[in-house]
Amino acid sequence: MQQRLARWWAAWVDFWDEVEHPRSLALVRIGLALCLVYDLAHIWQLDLVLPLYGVADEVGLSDALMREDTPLFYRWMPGTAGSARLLHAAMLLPAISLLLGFFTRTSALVLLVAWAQFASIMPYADRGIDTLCRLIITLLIFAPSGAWLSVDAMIRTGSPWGDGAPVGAWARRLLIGQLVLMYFSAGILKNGLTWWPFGHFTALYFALQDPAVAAYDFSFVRDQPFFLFTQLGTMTTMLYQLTYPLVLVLMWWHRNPGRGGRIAALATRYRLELLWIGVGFVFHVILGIVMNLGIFPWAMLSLYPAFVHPDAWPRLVARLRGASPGPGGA
Amino acid sequence: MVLLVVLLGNLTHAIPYPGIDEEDLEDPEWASADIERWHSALSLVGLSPGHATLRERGRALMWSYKRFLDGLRFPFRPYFKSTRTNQQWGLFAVVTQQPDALVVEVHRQGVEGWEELYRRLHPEHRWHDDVLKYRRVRGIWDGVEEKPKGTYKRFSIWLAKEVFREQPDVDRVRVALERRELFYPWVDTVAPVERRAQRHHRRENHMPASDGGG
Repeated sequence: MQQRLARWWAAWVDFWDEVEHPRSLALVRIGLALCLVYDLAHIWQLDLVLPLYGVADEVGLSDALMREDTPLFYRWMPGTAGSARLLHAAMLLPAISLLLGFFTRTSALVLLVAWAQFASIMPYADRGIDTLCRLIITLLIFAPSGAWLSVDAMIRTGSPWGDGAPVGAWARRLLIGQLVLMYFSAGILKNGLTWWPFGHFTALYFALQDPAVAAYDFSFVRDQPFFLFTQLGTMTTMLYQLTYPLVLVLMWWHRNPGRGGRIAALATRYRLELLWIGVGFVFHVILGIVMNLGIFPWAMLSLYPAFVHPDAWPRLVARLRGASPGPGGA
Repeated sequence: MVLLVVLLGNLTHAIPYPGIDEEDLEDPEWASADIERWHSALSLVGLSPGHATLRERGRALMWSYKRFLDGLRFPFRPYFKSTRTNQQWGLFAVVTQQPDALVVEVHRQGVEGWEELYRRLHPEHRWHDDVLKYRRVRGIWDGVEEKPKGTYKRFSIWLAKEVFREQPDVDRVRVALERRELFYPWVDTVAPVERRAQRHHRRENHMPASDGGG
């Protein structure tokens, strides 16, 4: 028993100790930071810095100064327009430097601290995607995401592409784990009747008619075949979210050929995990078009490069360019 | 070892968390709809101990479960609290069948009646639509709860001030949520629109005299 435990522990350590090229991780950093920079610049462009970051009776909408648990930022800073602008800048500037990969980890840390303060000041303006982004930013504080396509790489190696030195694969694997956990949790926590057969799979039908979140007037979904499409969409959403942990099993089989018998061999051969990843991709693109959810679908998609092994990118790029795929790891 | 702790911390926060609070322990009407559903289901197989017992047992079970989860989460709480994160992803867990539409109306000096300035998805009444539909602003007023959110009043005052500043002939602003019940397509009913959370604002109450206020 003790030997078996020791073997498991050694396998566990080996798994998290593996190294790989940093490009997938860096692509997540760039994609996510791009969404954040857009979102924060959008706040400024809409003239919403003072309403969202400021406190009531002075310049903004927050009740931060009226609460007993006043957020740290407004315990230390006066409730003025200058403070509101400072906090916004304390998010926007590190988001830009994270995008550029300049002081990457420090930028992630500053962004996380400032963002958590903003979430305390204006909790209603903080959505699910903001929570997810903060979890990912926490990861980027520790992960070497600035080792490729970054100013940091340029400073350290003389090239923005870095020196190609491998980095720990743990960060990308944790990202995959986070995505799996999020989709699965989103499935099991859907307790509204309309997501289930008793509610006739009508969740999307109703969501599309909610003027607060619909991007356009979708009142036509009452008619067929559109109603049927919304039902199929609801069914697919539930099915793919509830079964999302299978992605981990499929990836495990892919990594350990020969295990899992004939089903695993078939699943590995046809790369079945791509079905979940593909459905998720299409789901987010459609959401981005038909619903008014801001950066949610795009920030989600920015995490998808984590599913691609870093060695697969050159082959993907070559295929996109129409060149013959060269050799490379899976 | 560190990664194991990280994973454990996140998993403890991913386990579904019960929505029961201390004040619910004394509430005689706690989870009435759920208790009724369970009572009906258990009665079918002759196992229901009755509403009161079912409520007490259900409440005790949920409370113990919550205390157990709180214990599991305790070591990781400082991180999740200070970063305002969790792993509970009920994205669109409940889709409302009674959505609200934000409506802004104005009264102009010397003109009778109200003029609609904004209504989400209206083809013409689109005053500052890009601001009002922005996800963080929507979060301030939109929700599935019956009562408007705590920020709603301040939001309506801010909206009124924006209108007064931009349109000097407006002397009153009305902000409201219009709730419309949606039905399944096979239900041939059109529910009346229910106007709620209506707030009136007068220029003289919010703007300095130099801007035409009091």
